[in-house]
Amino acid sequence: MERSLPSVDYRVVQQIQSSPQMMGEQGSGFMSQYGGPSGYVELDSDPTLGLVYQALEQGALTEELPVWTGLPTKDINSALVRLAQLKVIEPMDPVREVTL
Amino acid sequence: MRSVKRFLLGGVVGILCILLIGTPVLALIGNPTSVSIGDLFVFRNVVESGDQLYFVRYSVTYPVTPGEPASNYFLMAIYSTNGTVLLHTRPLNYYQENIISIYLTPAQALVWGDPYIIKIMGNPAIFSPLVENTNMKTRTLGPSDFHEASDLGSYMVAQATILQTNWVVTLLVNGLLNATGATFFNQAVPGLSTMVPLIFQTSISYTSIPPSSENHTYEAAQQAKRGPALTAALNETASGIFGASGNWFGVFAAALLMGVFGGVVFPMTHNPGWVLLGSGFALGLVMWVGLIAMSAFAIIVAFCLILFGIYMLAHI
Repeated sequence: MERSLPSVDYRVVQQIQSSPQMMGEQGSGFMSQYGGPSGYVELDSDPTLGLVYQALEQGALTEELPVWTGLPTKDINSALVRLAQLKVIEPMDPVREVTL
Repeated sequence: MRSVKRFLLGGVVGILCILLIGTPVLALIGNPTSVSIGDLFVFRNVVESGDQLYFVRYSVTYPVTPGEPASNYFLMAIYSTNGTVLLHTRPLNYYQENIISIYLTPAQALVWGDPYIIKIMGNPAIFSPLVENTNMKTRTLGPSDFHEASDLGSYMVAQATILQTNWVVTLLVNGLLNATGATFFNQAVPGLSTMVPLIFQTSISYTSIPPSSENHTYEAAQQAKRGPALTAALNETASGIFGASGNWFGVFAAALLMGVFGGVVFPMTHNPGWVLLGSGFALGLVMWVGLIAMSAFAIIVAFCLILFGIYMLAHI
């Protein structure tokens, strides 16, 4: 199943995060949702990052993810490293290679 | 002849330079993966009788949001019913799924209920040619798209509900637009907080205070009797009651006061000096309330002092 980020112009995200009042309403959940404006732009611009992030959010980041998505395991793992660098997620163990 | 040619060539080059400097150059961006109109509504009488608001929830989808501002590349347009005349436009604020509107004053308003054509389209200067479903989406207004102003609030809340689900951003709290929702809806529909203040968690409205219709004649009549006008009022009273002018009334009052004072003080002191002194104070009081002039008071006081002096000299 194809997953994608919410169809939001990242300027919307930036505008929310630049407003203390709006951020106060959205709370920390919003930050973790998008990882800040730069995080959202990265997620928005890199389909692999977006897909891995969505899979993580949905609890679908398993060893079977490469099978379902067709993405190489090493691409998924490098996406996890990149997401951690962006502080969108906490650093985590890489996905293991599945031998079919 | 040669110098004329040089002059003309120089002029042409100069004009070209000015045109090139003055014309903004927009970067090319590709067509969106899809362009669509989610909802389309027209409301009337939203701010004043006869105005109209054309509202669209659109989607100009790019897999990666372009870095260029959407306002330079896409716009909402209202065309005539046969689609040949461009009537009104407004640039979009954002790519992806969002909202936009065009407000028409009563003077600009179109024929209510007519099938005008609404487009979300690329900037013709950038996207050429404009192709339906590629970089342009067209909808023709139908009878069910037209609504009264009383529907505006509930329709906006319904739109916010759709957007907050799709954006995964909280726009509504207890069915009212929070600061985030208010910001984006006021961007899309300038003046929405004035049109339907009750759908906002917080909004500012101004109460209108009608101008006073009182004629203030009573206050004016009282003001005319203040301060220096007291003499005039007393004159009026004196002439009304005694049939005499205020001056004569003052003389009578002063004489009465002096007589009473003298009748009381002299039997107790057997000294006309105290009577004269006290009369001076009585006259001062009469002058202070405006019954006699200060010059008259000064003459009488001087006269009293002379009498007092003569009396004292005679008895020392």
